[in-house]
Amino acid sequence: MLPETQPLTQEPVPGLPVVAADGREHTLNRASALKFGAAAGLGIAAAFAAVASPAAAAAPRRARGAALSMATPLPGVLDLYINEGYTKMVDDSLVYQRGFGDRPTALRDAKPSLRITPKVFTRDGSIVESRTYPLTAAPPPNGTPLPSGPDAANPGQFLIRRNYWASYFPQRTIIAETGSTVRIRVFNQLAGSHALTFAQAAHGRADITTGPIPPGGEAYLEFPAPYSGTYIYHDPTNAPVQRAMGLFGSLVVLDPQDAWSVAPGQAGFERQWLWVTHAICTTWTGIEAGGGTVDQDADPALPRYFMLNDRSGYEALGHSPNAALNKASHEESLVSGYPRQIDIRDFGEDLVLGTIRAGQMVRMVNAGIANHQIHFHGNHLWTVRRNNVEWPRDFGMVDEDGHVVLQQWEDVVELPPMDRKDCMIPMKRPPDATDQVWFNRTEDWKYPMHCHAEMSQTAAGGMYPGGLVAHWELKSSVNGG
Amino acid sequence: MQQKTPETQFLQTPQLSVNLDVANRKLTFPDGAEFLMWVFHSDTSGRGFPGPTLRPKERDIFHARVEPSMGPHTIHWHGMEPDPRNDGVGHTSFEIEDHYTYQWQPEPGRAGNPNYGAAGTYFYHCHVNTTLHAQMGLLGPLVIDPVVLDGFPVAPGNRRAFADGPEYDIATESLIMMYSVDPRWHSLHHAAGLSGEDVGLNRFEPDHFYITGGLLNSRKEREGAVWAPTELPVNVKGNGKAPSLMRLLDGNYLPNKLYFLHEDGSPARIAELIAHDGRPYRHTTIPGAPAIPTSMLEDPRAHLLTHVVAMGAAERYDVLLRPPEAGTYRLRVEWNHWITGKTLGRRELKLIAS
Repeated sequence: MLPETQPLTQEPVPGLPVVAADGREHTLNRASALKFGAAAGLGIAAAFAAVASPAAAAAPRRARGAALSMATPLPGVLDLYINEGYTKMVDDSLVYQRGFGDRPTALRDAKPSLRITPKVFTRDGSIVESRTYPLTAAPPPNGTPLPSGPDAANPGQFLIRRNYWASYFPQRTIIAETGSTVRIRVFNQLAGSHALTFAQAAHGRADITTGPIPPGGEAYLEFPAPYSGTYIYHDPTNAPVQRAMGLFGSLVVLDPQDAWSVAPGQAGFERQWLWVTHAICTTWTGIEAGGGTVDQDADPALPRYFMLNDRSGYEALGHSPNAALNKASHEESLVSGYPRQIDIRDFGEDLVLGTIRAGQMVRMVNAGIANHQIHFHGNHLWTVRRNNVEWPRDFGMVDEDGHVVLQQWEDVVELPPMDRKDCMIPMKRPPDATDQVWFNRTEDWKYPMHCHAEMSQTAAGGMYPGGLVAHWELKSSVNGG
Repeated sequence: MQQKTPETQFLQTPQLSVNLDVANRKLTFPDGAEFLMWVFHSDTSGRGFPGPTLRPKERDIFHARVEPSMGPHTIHWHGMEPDPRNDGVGHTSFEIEDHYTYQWQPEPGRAGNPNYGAAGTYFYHCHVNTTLHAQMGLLGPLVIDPVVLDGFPVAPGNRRAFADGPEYDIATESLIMMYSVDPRWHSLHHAAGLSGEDVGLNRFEPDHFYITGGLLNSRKEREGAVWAPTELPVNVKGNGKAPSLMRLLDGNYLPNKLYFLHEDGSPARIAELIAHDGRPYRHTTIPGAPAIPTSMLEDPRAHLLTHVVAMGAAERYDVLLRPPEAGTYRLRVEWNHWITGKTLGRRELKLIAS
């Protein structure tokens, strides 16, 4: 289906400008207002008032640092505010960033809203704020799914619970259930023109975009949840500059009836992880903070900070003095689980009722500007999809760029900018450890993950390993289990 | 965490054991450029680049005793998956101040089973201040040879790429490692940047690009040598020998693109990709059924033939070369910028098929 554009047959409501998915500017009309109302079971008048009130917010170009007020929320509609502010890097320096936030904040706000708390568009037309999904499933303690019990046939290994544990998602995530409708209002609080684009989210992998939103302006997007998978939303203005300034996030589309698979009938998993990489170039942020426009030829990007889910180095590793931050790293990024016997020919295998022989799915997303090489120690990963296209299990091919299209083991996963890959970490016994070492294991085994394009392992030009890093843990029943 | 002499737990008698030390030394590269390099060397290898070729076999116990004479280092066996103590990463185990003996045992392959088997191409590198230490030269090739399985005999002069994989000709087996040098980095010190100072390790601007490696079987490790080929012999189909295997290893930090070309520069679809990162490509469609390697299937459509290979930092491909006719072929390697994608360097190697 093509993204829906607003019909213009009714008389327009003065005020609220709407940029439809085709990029043309429209004005929100009574029919649309009625539709919002109907979707949320509201009275017509209330709905209409709700739509009409932001008319006043067809805002004058605002001065930086001015106080801001939130628009009146519309039921079933997610409001995103394009904000600016300063965020602390892993070396404690403050760097200017932009982002799609939950509420309007000013430049000097101590806690600028530059990324949203995860939101879920449900099939019944509502929006639920939740860091975990499925909404009714149990959140895994500290991010680690607990097994159902020991695997008697395989000493030191465990049986994994099927369709049981929820997964945590990082900030910036929008989840849309298949069959839901994504409805978003975007308010541009900044002095320059910006846009919101969902890359490859329309039928035929076309982009869905608001088109340019002028300073102080706003726009509305409505489209059906695309095919199950991972998408990037971002501001394509002067690409990739505004994305690199922080104007990006992820849209994850999941089938609520088959929520433990990357797509219906495809690779099942115990839990999933969304890993979003991003690189910050302070030359670019400096130019834009000063009101300039980056010229990519004159000012080539030289990233200075490299993030995984908006954290770097010891903060990404959960080794910071901030307990809340460490907890978030464990829940959202630091892959962990109990070892299990799996066969990559069949991720859905269940030998015991309520269990599954499957690993954990890592959805890797590169919203940044550098080519990353995601390397896992301890286990190879089994790559199943790239950019929401499932790779075949037989009769693969080498594509014209020289990449193999066939499900395969990898210990380094190529992740160019805007790419998304779904990779299964099997959480198996590390194959090259001796029997004695394995059978006498008394502690959790922790392995690094890092990008092998090693410039990304730095912060502020040094500080190894201060960049795009994580670790993953094979939990032990003896200690730490 | 630094430890003087960490203990190797459950030490066994090794089938292959090597002593590795670290040295710094000026080395002259094929283009005449001279750089201060940090290199691994064994008792017999001399101080050259890359580090000595290590070649353990599946199921054999491997030991590497590391006694770094110049500051703490570690060895990470990239792609091998032992326990964390033997994985060689400082922040998940320890950095070695005095000495340590790494121990691991490559998992043996099983016929038709996609879940087992380590045979393939790897490398080892220091995992202390890795950004700097790997660029300085602290890396070397690691090849795991397969066990011999019933039903998979091996003809004299041949080896199998993995236990249930195709045979190749040992004499013309090669390793090709992409490497590039940013000379600025080669004046930095061991711990540069670790105390928070900006030493520009986010800025890798190589202006020297190298195709290193050569024939594995006839490599002469010696003092001061930079191992690099001028041309490579390749078996042509029908010359009575098994095909030649080329092991590709990306030893630098930039995305590479490799093109196999005829002498006139037109694409030559002679490269069959048979394994990636030490794991064979297989058909895995049917649960429980043997997962046959793509390179062993009779159906020619199953074989992953190409003239172009894209690879980035630390990736490996095992490639069977299948030139249909005798003559000269060219392997062109491009180094591309990791952000803009612009080509920064280009080198070529002649492949002589006979």
